[in-house]
Amino acid sequence: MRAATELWWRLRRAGAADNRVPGILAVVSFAVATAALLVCVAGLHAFEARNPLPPGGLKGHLSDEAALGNLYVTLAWIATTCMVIPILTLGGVAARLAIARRDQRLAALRLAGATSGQVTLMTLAEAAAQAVVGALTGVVLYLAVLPLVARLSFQGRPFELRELVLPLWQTLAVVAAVVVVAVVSGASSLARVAISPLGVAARTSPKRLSVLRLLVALAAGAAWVLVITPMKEPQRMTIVLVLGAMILAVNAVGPWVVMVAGRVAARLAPTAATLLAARRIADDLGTGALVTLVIITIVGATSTGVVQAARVLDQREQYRALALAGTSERSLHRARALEVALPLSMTIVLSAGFVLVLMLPFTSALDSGLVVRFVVTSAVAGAVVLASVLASRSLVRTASRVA
Amino acid sequence: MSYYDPARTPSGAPERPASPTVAPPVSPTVGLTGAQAPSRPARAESPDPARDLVARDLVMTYGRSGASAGPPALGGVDLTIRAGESLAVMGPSGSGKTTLLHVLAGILRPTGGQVLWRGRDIARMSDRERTVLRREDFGFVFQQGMLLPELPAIENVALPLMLGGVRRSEATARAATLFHPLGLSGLEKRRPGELSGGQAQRVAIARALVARPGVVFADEPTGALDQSTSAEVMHHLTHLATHTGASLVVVTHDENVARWCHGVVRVRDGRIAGADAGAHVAAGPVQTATAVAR
Repeated sequence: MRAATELWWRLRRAGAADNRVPGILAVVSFAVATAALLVCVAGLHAFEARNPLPPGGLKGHLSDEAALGNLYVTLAWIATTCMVIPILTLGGVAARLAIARRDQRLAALRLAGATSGQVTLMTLAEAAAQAVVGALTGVVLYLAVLPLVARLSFQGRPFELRELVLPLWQTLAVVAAVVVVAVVSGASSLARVAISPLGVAARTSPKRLSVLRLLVALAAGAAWVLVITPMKEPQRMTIVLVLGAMILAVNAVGPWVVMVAGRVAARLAPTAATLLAARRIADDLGTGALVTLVIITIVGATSTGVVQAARVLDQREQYRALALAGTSERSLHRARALEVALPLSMTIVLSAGFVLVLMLPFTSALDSGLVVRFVVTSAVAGAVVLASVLASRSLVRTASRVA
Repeated sequence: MSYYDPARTPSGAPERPASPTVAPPVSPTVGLTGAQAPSRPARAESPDPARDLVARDLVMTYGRSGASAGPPALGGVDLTIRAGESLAVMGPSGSGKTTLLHVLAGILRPTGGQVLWRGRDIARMSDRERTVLRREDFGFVFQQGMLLPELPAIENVALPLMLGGVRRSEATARAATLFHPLGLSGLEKRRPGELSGGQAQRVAIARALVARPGVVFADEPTGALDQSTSAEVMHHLTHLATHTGASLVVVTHDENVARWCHGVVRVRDGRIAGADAGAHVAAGPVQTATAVAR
């Protein structure tokens, strides 16, 4: 234990200059995740402060105004719940980044006689340290964007900064939660690989996703509509729970749909670039799952950019091999863009259906412009995601350099 | 407290070179005419089960067993590496020589057979036990030195000791004693990226020897080096192993490298196809595997 922590600290201090890119990417991920979560919780906090529960609680009679205020709080809860999973996913991505590109180093440590426990401890310490730095940066980021959030107008008046500033303990709780997510998801990533002196290998082949998931998602969607719609005054916790289940279900189905699309595309693949992209999607559901989840948020763009950069760093040997085999840089760029664009278009369809189902119980809040706005937002978000992929083009160029 | 202590050289080494027990040496002085060819190292010791590394009927199959499994990477290998001896393992690509090294070193667990080290079967040990073994009893020199780029040379050498719980100051002090004999004086603070290929391999040799291992395993230790650097590295590897009393197993496809060892075994299709004393490499195997190995 002492040997591992001491060595980790030595490696960390000594390696700061050598491992800068993945380190910065991970910290940025944690910072964006923390800031996004804090803004969500701050919004929820503001709505709750603005619409205090009447003395009789939800059971009592509510004035129209109070009922509307209550609906806002409920919607804020929905929004926050929706945000949690993408943020957790991003936290997981960042944790994987802490491990990524260290294959060689972890194998070298094992060869020199480090036990699995020591290697795990060192890796998780790294993920936790990056999470702490990232989360604290995220707090600063959150405070910086508060004036912008305060310009949003709800219930006829903009937020006041005072409403949006979270109590210190809540802020610290969010920071702590992000660090815990980093460590837990780092541990689960490590559980899926075997670190031997010869390298890091996947312990199991990628799980095959079944039609069962689709049925579960459909059932959850039906439950949402059937359970929430007839409720006159829906219980907030019921909503959060059912919604949580539903998001998990979509999370489960999304990758499956994307995988099927990938297989079909692989079969029909007209060009090498499409084939490359489709095969990768079918093999590795990570990107697909990610894109599915985080599409309509800035979190999505950040994580896609980060993941793409990490993949390029991770697979630089593969890129070099492809370049050596005569794959042009253009094909590599096209493959990467397709790799994201394919799941992206599937996701937009999926998300549209999801959001429409989500809104069904709140028909009063549904207006004709919403769908249009949603489509436009999705398109913009899609463009941002693709742009974040393009941002790592220079990394591909470096990685595929043959000499 | 130097690791390079001539007084520690096992005494009474006769002129006649020893060989792996699989092969009786044949006219050891023949063929050593190359510029870098060393005078064949001399060593002969009687078998000692408590100090020898003994492999019995090693079988290694990759992937799932059953009809779909390919031919075994190792198809029943018997081999004894006597204490203090050096052995070159040669063979064409895919012959199973690297697999043999990994199994002997406890990195891979064989599908069948035994690897006996100091009275214990490595093949039956837990991952943790094998890790401790790698740290305390074995040393490694691979083609790419497997050095951590973040750490200066001295700490790379001290790494196995530190992982074993030795304090950093003591670990680095012990590591420092190896720098002079390896011609690395003054390079203690350099990172691996600031070392030449030959220097990096010598740092790897220092790391392999720092814990005073019983066996050093080297997989193509000169694979990335030119001929003269290669000879220099092999000189240090064999001499230092000899002076610390460690056995040496070198996987190589380079006859010049094999010449530095007491003996040579040749592996083909997962079996030992022959063994000789290194001098007769061009003449092919002197005896068949079963005849020699059993």
